[in-house]
Amino acid sequence: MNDDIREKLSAYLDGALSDLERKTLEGELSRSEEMRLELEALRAVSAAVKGLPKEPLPVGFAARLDARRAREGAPEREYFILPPAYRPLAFALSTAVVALVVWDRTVTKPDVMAPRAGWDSEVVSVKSAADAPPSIDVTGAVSAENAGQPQELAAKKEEAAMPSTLGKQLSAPGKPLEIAEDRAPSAPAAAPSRLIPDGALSKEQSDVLDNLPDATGAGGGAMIARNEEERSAINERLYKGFEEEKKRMGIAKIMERDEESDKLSTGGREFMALQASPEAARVDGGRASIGSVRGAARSKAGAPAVPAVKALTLKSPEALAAAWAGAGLAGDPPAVNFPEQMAVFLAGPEGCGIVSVRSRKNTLLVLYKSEGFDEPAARVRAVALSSKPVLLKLAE
Amino acid sequence: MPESQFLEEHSQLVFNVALRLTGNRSDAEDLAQDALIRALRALPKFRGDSKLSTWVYTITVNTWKNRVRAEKSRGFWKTISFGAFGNKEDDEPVYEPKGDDAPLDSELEKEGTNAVVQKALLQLDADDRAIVVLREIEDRSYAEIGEVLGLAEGTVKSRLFRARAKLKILLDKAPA
Repeated sequence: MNDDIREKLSAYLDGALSDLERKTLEGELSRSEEMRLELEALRAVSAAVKGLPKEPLPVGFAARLDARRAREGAPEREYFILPPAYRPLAFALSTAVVALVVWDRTVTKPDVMAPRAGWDSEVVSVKSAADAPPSIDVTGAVSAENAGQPQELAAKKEEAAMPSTLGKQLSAPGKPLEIAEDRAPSAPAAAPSRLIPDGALSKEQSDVLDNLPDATGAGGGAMIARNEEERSAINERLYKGFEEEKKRMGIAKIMERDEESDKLSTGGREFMALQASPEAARVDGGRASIGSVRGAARSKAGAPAVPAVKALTLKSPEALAAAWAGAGLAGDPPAVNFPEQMAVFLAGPEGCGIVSVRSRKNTLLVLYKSEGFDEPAARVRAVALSSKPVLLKLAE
Repeated sequence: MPESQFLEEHSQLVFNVALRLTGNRSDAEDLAQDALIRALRALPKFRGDSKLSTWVYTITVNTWKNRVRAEKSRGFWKTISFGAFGNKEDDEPVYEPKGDDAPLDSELEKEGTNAVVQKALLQLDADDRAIVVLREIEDRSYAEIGEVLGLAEGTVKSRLFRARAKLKILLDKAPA
């Protein structure tokens, strides 16, 4: 007997068959003992379940129901349930907050009040004015070694016919201006602002120095605090002012000085500024300090000695005038359209002069002759402003 | 319909169904109260699309099935949490009676047959048990059972047959 017949027997038991199905099944039942036994078995199961007694309601059911309804009818505490779409965002935010708190509690913060050595020092403890560092960063651009120079230089201020205020007071004839970068204080000195004579700096520089924290504050315990941002701002302003000052003085370039060999080099932190000064315009001593020495003729081994000739690139009328006067030339130098142009000045023996100036890819080639020029104006050529190195070449 | 009248007319019906679905009086009372409270809350929304009794059966069966699902979920976590430490044989089936009172076979059914039948009934799965209870005990038609459980009449007919067949096997295996 298959399940279809047995299912029909179950439905027959419930009176759920159609008349046709019922009659068909009854015919089969009359012919099949097996089907009759199966029907009786299903009827017995049904009767057994139907025989389960119905129980009365438990005593107190209604009272307990009322009590529960009263309990559950009380206003429920309302919770805000975040919509599912926002749950990932809420999870991410809460995770970020937890991560931030953990980071904040675990990462050690640097003690901003702890002084650190060298360039990283952000706070310098100043016990008294004498302890004030001569230079803290570029703002204190005068080194301890130069602390005594201003007074010495001031005495020569009258003698120096410098076109530049800074050049007048800070330069010494034949001695390059030394500008020290930021360095750790090495010797007691006056406060930075006292190291520089009045008027020696541009207004921009003076303003910066004036706005520095007072290192000689009352109580002798003032703190000069600089954070990186302040230092950057100060450096930027000073750099801008310094560049303007260089331009005004006609300084073409500040070259690094090698202390040991006393030659220009690329090492070290001290610089030698080549600046215009009549006294410094001596080129025969081999220590040119006027304008920018961009090139010098050299004698090859075994070749006939070539008179010392040097080419200076000058970018201001004052520098040109100083070089002109320094070379002992009479009259006025030729006109140069500063600052769009610069002057190439040939410093050398009497009669020397420039044949031509050619701008090459990487150099400014100056062809010259060491003699044969009667006009001093031959020493000067106005050329387009350029930063290319000068190559001096004796014209044949 | 006033709530009092509704409770008077349907409390017994709901309790009887709950008793056969759960297998013990304690769980049956809890289920009946739960179903009646839900019915009372939804009563204002009853539109008369079906017989009120059918609607009450539906609420009762659905409330019970929700409980069964919740029990299964708790049983799953219970197995996960303590399965490694406990005896597997101690994990009773989630649909077994949980009440503190004695099972029907000793408290209510003094005759052994009723106890065996109730025990066999509890071994059917939820839908099959509901179909058998509604058909055999509540004497509901296939159509009404289908409406309560959301099944087609043909499905009800075939599942009722299989449930009866399974009960027959269980009863045959039961000790005399």
